[in-house]
Amino acid sequence: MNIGLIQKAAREVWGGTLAFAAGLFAFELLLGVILPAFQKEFGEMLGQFSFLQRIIAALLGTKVGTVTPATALGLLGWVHPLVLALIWAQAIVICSRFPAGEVDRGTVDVLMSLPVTRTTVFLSEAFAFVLAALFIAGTGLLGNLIGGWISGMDRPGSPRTFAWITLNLYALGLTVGGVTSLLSALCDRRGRTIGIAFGVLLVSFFLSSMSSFNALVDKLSILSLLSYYRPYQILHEGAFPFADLAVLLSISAGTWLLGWLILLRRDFRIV
Amino acid sequence: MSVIRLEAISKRYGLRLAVTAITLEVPQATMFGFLGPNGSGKTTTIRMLMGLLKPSAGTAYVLGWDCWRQSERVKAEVGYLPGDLRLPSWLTCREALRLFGRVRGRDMTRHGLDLAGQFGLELDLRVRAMSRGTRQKLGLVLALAHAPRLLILDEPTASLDPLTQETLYGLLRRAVSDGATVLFSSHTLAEVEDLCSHVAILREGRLVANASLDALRAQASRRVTVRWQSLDSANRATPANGVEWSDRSGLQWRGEVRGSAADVVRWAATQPIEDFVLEPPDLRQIFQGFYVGDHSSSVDRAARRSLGPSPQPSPWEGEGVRR
Repeated sequence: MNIGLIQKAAREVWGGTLAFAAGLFAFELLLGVILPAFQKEFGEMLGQFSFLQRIIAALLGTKVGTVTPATALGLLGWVHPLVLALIWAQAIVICSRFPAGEVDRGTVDVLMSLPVTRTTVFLSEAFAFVLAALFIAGTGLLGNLIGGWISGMDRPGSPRTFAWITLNLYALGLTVGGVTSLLSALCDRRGRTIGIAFGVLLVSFFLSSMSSFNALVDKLSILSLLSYYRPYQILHEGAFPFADLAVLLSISAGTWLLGWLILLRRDFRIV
Repeated sequence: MSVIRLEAISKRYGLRLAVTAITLEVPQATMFGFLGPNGSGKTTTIRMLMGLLKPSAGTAYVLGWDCWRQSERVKAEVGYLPGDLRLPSWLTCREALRLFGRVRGRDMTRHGLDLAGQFGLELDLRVRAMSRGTRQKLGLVLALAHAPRLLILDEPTASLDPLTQETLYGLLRRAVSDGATVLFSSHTLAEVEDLCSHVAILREGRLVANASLDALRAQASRRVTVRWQSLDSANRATPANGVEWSDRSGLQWRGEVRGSAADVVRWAATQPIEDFVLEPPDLRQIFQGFYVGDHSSSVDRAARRSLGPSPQPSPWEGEGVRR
């Protein structure tokens, strides 16, 4: 790693990271504050619309019938599409910057004229992302805790289990970053990188949220990244999510490694 | 010692061969012109030198280091200005010097600020607010500020005003006199003629010429123009040895010196001539000969061919030897 390159990356990602973090914090805070007031209506709505119950149960990582309205409400802040979208968007925005973004905006010539290896640039960029993703996930947890504290809502689990859920969410973010980094190493256009990455995540989301409606989709949902992010399991079992973290971190490490290997061999062409 | 050594270097993009087996050496402390029409492979060659592109075949060396395998060592000694310079929009000159110095592990600020002063750069203006020429100046400052042993400049004067161009020429001449080497890609032939001691010319990805400018000048023909005092004196003129006249009508004769220029001057001194212009060797014609591809066998033939259809500016307005 190179301190100058880390500073450059930090200079370029801090604004976006702060904006995503502020959005996530505000949303988690708001959910924590307002949701308890709607607990009764929420329970009735879940009972009335079984498909909603199925989708929420699938996103929480469990089967229908095991989630009570109170639990679903307590965990909604961790699986809400907006929360996932913010985490994913931040990962995609940062990890598509190098090399695809640099090639796309033509700044790669100046960057790579500096006396550093491609590996050094890669590691410096990855380091900046790992810290930014940690900051985002931590901010989400903070917003959730403060929101719950303001509303006085009874939490369905201990603070430790929520820290593990945050860790699981962080690992999901790292994996999305890894997939994006791999795509970025393969592409010359940042827009294309972002488009494909979002496509992959939309398919993931579709497989997870629809898994309880169709047997085939249920079988295929093993391919979804969201299958390894199961807040309900962590809450219910109170156990550290070793298996899910192992899968996510393996995918993450594999995609980062593959992206790095491609980066070492690729040309930086003028686009 | 060769600062740059290209050994049969080629680059293929799919089916298209952008650069074909270029072998070239650039000696130390020279200003080396790298010429060729658009799409001839200059930028591709330069990008292989910078480790941005991997050669499909052959090897490029800078200061003895392999440009692909040891690119970070190469880049520590090179100052590079890309042809299409793009910089992060948030950067200012001051920030860039600090940041690039930190990446390079050396203080670039002192020399960089001095260069910025010479180019008249505003230190705290962001790139997004800079004109193209100002961005080019910043690129030059960043290429020069670490006092590199090799400067690779891809069309550096393309968007610079004449005053800034002169400042750059001065800096480059000083760098060469201090032992640095400059590889200078340009479309402006007059600039290359003025600055460079050696040139290499590419066409369609192949090296078609590699020579010192003195060698090219020695092969280039000179134009001569004579204005007689009267038609009668023109008719009474004795034949000039070594001049091939292309136009002998009226009072003004035009031709090309095929022999010794000194002989022609001596001949002119004995004639009833009102004015006499002997132009310097016309390298532009030679370069153009290489560009359009009729330089296959000899420099002289290409120069002769290209002389024909070109417009003839009045020699009395140009530089030359006057009597």
